[in-house]
Amino acid sequence: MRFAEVPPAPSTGARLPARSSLLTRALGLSAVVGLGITTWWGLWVSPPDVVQGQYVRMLYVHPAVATMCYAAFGLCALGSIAWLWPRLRSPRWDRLAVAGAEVGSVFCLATLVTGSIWGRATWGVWWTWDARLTLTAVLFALSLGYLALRRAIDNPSSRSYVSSMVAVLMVLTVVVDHYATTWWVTLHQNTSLFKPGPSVHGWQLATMGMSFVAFGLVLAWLMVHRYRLEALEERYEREGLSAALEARRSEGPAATGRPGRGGPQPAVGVPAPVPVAGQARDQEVVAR
Amino acid sequence: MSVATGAEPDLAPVSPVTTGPEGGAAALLGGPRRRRALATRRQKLVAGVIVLSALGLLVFRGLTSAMDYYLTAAQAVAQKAQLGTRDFRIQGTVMRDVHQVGATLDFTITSHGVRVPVVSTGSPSSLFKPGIPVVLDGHWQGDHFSSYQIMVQHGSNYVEAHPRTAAAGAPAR
Repeated sequence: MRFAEVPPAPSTGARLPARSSLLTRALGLSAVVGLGITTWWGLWVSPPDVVQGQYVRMLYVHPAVATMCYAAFGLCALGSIAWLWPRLRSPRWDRLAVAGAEVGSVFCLATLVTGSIWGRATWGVWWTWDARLTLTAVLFALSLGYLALRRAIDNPSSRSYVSSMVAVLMVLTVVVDHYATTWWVTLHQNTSLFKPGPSVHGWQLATMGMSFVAFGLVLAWLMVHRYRLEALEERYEREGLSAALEARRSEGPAATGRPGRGGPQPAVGVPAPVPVAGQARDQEVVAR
Repeated sequence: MSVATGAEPDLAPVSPVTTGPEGGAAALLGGPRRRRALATRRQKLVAGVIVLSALGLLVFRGLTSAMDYYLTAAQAVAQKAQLGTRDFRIQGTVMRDVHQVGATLDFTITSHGVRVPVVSTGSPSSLFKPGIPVVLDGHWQGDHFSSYQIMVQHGSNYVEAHPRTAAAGAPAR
């Protein structure tokens, strides 16, 4: 069910918790502070690189964004696998999965954009079909497919089941994407950080680490809010429908004071409905 | 279309999930709701085909070109006969003999002791310089490699140019 089709929100009864908690506000503030420190260190404190010069500053954005993309899809897969597991099945896992997929697709797009900018500056091209880039594009397409599936299937159980399968496929793509630079020859460089003896040092390493913390906080903040939004949407649908049912009941016989389960009475000035031919015949048969 | 029966249930048209006056008998008769449902299904089908086609294209491109992204200069020389004049990517380190002649760039790349002379019409990034590894798009033309695109390959090692200051930050040449 889409928002457009949902009846108006219930005006009486429960108030939807539309505002964030103190904890999430603190999380958001920490993310902003983290991004501020990363910007400060990245643009003014950290020195340029011997080979890449000033272009090295993309190092403080792109790897962190790409890692958060992987992490979000990992959370999506975690939620999906937990939902598929009969003992653990709960709407909470499904909410985690959809939050992970949506936030992951945002980070995936950011990865493609920042990588493209960095690639143009250093490699000399916006895009090339090497294994890492191709798999990241496939991952983004899969995430869009996941989100499209969530909107296309109305039945909640079928929707969760099918999208969980896609989520598992996405996380497998993440693993292959991560090892692409190791398994195949690529234009994209290998990892700098997640290996024994990182090849980044000093302020460059500190700033890169700070960028991971900052974008990690952004990821957490987005996840919390997307999860809450999904829960609110479910509640809105549920309570909106209940309110509509209540409103409809109040328009029924109880409201008009007539006993029994008779149909709604025509309004004053509106002609009574004409029975169709079949009904008239049935009434005759019953009368006989 | 709505069929007046005079005995509609109390809670008939309250939400899209229940069968309303348009979706009951009218649906069986092929009414507007049924047509809308068919149109929606068709839209979903078209969207699915587009997504799958895009994915198929990406995977195809990935499988055909990404796995063997380039040949090293040594491999390209060894496979010169098989490669003929078809396009491929070659990788090697730029040597010192870089000459700009009009719009073309003449230089030599090396890999595992094998040297390949290159004539390129592509414009490289500002990181291009002797000693840096490059990947070139192009093909064999006689004894040299004719390239139309130069991609600079940089490693994953980062070294601070001017420790503790970001003032003099032009890319190292």
